[in-house]
Amino acid sequence: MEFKVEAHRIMTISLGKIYSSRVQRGGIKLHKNLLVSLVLRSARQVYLSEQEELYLQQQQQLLLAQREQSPETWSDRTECEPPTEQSPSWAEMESNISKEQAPSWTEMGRTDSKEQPASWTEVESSGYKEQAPSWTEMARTDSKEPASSWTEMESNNPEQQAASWTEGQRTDCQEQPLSRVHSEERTDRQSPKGLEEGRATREPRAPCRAVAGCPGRLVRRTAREQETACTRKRRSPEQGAAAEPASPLKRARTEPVVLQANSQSEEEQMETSSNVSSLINIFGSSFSGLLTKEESEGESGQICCDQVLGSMGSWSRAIVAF
Amino acid sequence: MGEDIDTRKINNSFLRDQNYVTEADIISTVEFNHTGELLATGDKGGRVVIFQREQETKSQPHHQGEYNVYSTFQSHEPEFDYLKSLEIEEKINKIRWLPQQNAAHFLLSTNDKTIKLWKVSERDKRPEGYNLKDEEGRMKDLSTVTVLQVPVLKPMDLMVEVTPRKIFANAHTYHINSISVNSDCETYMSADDLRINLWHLGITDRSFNIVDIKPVDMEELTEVITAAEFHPHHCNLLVYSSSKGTLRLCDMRAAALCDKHSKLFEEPEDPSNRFFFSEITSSVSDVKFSHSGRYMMTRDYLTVKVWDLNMETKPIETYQIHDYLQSKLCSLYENDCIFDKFECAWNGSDSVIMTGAYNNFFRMFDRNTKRDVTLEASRENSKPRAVLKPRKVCTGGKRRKDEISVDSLDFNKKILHMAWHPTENIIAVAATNNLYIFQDKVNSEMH
Repeated sequence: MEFKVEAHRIMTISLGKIYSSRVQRGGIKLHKNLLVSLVLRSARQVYLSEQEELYLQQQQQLLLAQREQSPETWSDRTECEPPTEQSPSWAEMESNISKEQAPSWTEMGRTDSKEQPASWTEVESSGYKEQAPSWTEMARTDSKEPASSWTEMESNNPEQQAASWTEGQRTDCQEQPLSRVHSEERTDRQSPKGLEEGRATREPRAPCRAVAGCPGRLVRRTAREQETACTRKRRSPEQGAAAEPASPLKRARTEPVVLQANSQSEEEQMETSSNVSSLINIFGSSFSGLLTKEESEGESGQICCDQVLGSMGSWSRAIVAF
Repeated sequence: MGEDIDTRKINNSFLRDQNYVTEADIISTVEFNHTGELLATGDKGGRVVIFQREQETKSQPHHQGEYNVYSTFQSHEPEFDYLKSLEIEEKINKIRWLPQQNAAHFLLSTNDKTIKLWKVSERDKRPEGYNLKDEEGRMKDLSTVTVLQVPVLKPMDLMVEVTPRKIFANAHTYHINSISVNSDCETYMSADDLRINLWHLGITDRSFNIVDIKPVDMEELTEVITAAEFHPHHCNLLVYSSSKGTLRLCDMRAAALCDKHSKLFEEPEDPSNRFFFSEITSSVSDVKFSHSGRYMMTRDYLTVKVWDLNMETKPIETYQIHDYLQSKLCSLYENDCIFDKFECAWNGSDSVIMTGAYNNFFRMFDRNTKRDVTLEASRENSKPRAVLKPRKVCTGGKRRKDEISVDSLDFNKKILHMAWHPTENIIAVAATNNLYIFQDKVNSEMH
């Protein structure tokens, strides 16, 4: 359990480092970011393996509890499962996984306002082609895990259906075949239910085939309302985001998108961008926005911070205090 | 070994007395030239300061061998890459001297993207007695010129001129981390994260790529080049280190592109250790050939390893520099100290190796006697002529007097850059923005 906390903390710190490397003078340092991404991957592996154990334990307890319940309560329970850390729907999602690539999971990291920018990282869409095999495998083993801190990112790849969902939104995911989150233009990110996409935090978009869950479904992001902390790194498409409604969350996203669009026009920068994005793809998430400077990061960071703080659990708050 | 201190502290900070360190003054590289007469330092502000050793004179025996400022010049300026919207830092990453071939000295200095060849020359005579110009350079009234004279060279105050002779630019996409002059004195290489280029010292508009480890798909990137060096004697051999802790020896005769190594030096990793951060701590930060050319030394975060070129399976010696940091890796990761790139140095006879650590400590290891010493470069403990006192870090249990506990180490004070005189026991140690020069007078005959 301690390993899990430690791993989570390390992941948080790593994401913060990757984010802050964007604004460093002299450009992104490939070596350092590579090392940070390796650490992030190691920590994630530990974290997920711990999660899996925890989930299995809790599943067993749940089963025991359910057996003692009446049939009515059993059905009730299945219907309105609260957004807890454990997501039985993960297994369901697993079964629904199409061959399309699943968006990456994300991790809510930043609760400290200083570190807030870490949650605003963008993922580069164009450099994103393949799924990292390691990530795919990891995702499969995750099938039963409570993806409390893993929310999925919609893929920017038009060929892929993006599913951005948190555990709490499992039901949404099933019920609402929403428009593609990551459309080329990114103009329409809203779900039919008017759910916000929760762009406040960025999620790493991992080429996670296995954990797609709801392909093509946009789920309202309630990560910020959940106790688990996740940071989202999202690939930002070229233009569309600029046309989005003026929710602060979305606005935060737009600028990096625009900047990213500009930067992507340069091949060399593409190379560097894809370097970094590739780093993340190695372990399953992408950072396209790492290469652009966000003017609005402070502001958006603050907004996200507030929301994230609201969703913090007690042990996550410890990270804030730290 | 007793160390006599001959300290030169160079602090360009305006508020030096208040201990305020401007970032531009942080020394980023230190290098002796091939005779040891000149010592060059580069800083984060793009400046290069060259020190010259005073000639020993009988009249001032106590000042023999002191290093004084010889020349200062701005090598690199901050630039902006408009295409990528990136700022290019002016920090001098490396300085390498060329072997001296005439009266002038040449050095290469590099920042992240551009390498420059500088000529350092002295002028101590100037011509006087021009026919058409007077002493101030104004044109003479021709009617006053009655006699023709031949200009003669008259002595003048020594003036050190530093001029850029060549600028080698636009050859690196990634950040340059190393340069190394070939023993043929005509070519040199520059290495960035993924590629190594071979240059001719006289040709600036093209370079040859000799190593390229960039994967076709950047998503498959797993390692980067961290340091590279030419063999001191064999002009065809070069070595480069990677972030995975491996060394690759390449032979340029084998192929034009040296992607395929001739030898791979790698020590199998101990699977039982270091959990999250083992990949970071095994990343090699510096590689140096011994003067003999038989050995190589690598520095990773916690150890220094000496390799025999003839044995690829494991190093012949491993020295723990600050193993007590193993338990602190997480906090060192948080404050970014785990990414510090320490350098290492051989002494002239390859019998002693030296490297830096935290709290302004640096360590020396005698390869023959297996003795080691930890010394500190600090203003408080260093007075001219004072002998450095060995320090010790208390790793656990009862702390003795004069020992420093691990928790009280100052991780902001780190010795990353250092150099050893090529023949004598003189070391130059850079501690943030201060340069310390230490001399070992006691054993100068033995080594």
